[in-house]
Amino acid sequence: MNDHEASATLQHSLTAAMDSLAGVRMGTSLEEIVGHGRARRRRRVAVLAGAGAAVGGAAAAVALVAGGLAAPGPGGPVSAKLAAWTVATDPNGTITITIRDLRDPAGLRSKLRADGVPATITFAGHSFTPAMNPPLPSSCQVPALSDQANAELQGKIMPPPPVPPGAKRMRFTWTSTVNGKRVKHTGGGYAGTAKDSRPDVALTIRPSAIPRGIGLNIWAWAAASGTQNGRPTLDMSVGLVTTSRQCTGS
Amino acid sequence: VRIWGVEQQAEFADFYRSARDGCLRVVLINVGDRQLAEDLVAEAFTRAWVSWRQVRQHPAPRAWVVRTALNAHVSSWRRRRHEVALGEHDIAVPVGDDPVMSSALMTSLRRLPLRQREVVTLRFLLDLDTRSTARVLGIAEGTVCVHLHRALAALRDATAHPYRQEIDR
Repeated sequence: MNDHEASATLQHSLTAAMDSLAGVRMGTSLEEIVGHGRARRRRRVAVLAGAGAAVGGAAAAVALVAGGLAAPGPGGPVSAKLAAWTVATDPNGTITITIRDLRDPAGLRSKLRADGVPATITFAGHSFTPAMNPPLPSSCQVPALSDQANAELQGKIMPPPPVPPGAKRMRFTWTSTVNGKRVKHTGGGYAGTAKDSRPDVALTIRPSAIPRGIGLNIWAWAAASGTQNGRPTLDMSVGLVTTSRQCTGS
Repeated sequence: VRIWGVEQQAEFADFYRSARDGCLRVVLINVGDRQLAEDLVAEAFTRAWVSWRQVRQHPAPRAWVVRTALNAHVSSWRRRRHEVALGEHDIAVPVGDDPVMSSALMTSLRRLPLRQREVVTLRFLLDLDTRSTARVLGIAEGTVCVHLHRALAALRDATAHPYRQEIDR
């Protein structure tokens, strides 16, 4: 039997097989597909927003190191530095969280609340793939917003970071989710030198953009993608929640 | 920030309603397990919904869904159904008593390497020509022909000796 005859035989058999399956129908409703897709899109928007903030957040963190050496002048950045994470308040009213080690989430939540950012913080002991969204903490609820409104609000709360004037150009890498696959991007940042590049994650937040009753659901974990400079690469996800005593503590 | 228009939602809904059963049958022929096929196709349509702006412009959206399903991992849908995740679905599995689905040819088809199955599926089940198949898979037309030739040779061999693979395993 040559290829042509084999093709004809195969096509005939496949047609018969398709005919035999005429009664087979999808049991999954459109609503289930869309519901699953919405949850995934929320996750993707959150990761993209967090990743965009991470680029400039890292720049801000490095800038703070330089500021410490030169003693910031009046109106300069004021920061509370801890080994595991840093919350820096910038003169323009934004704050930048830089997480270096997954320790003391309660302390970070208290510090953020004091700075006007109600949040629930979870440092996970395992990584998440794009298909495995970090779960909503059981004590929290998602605000009643459309996907679009949710994404727009996240964009206001987590704005593109400012580039420090006169800073050196630097390359940063971050990951985002495209078509369900984790993709690593390389972007431009401005600050320090390449030696300062560390596997931290950072997030810039504008507290004044957070409406009453809205808080942040922040997850951080060690990415499965490996290490950088001998330390595990951290990853982050941010979403919106409704504030409550049980969820955000206020 | 993406804006998800009402028109696009309706467009996706129409696409889902018209393509879901056909895609399910094609994937079922490939994997031989009804529930697994449903999970894979549901996962593929979910990804299509998330990326509908791109998928709607694809030259063959059904082929995109089927190919995505054949390459998908379905852990999230499996978890939702409280079933044990099947880590590797690229294997032949029983299909019950259906004489067509359990024929030597269909069983052999499911044992083909994924790329060869993709080529056979797109060419014969979705009726794409060689050029379109090459575009969907992102490979050269000549490579499509090579995979098809190898697939046909393997199927020809398997159906000529229907029990050999069972003995060899």
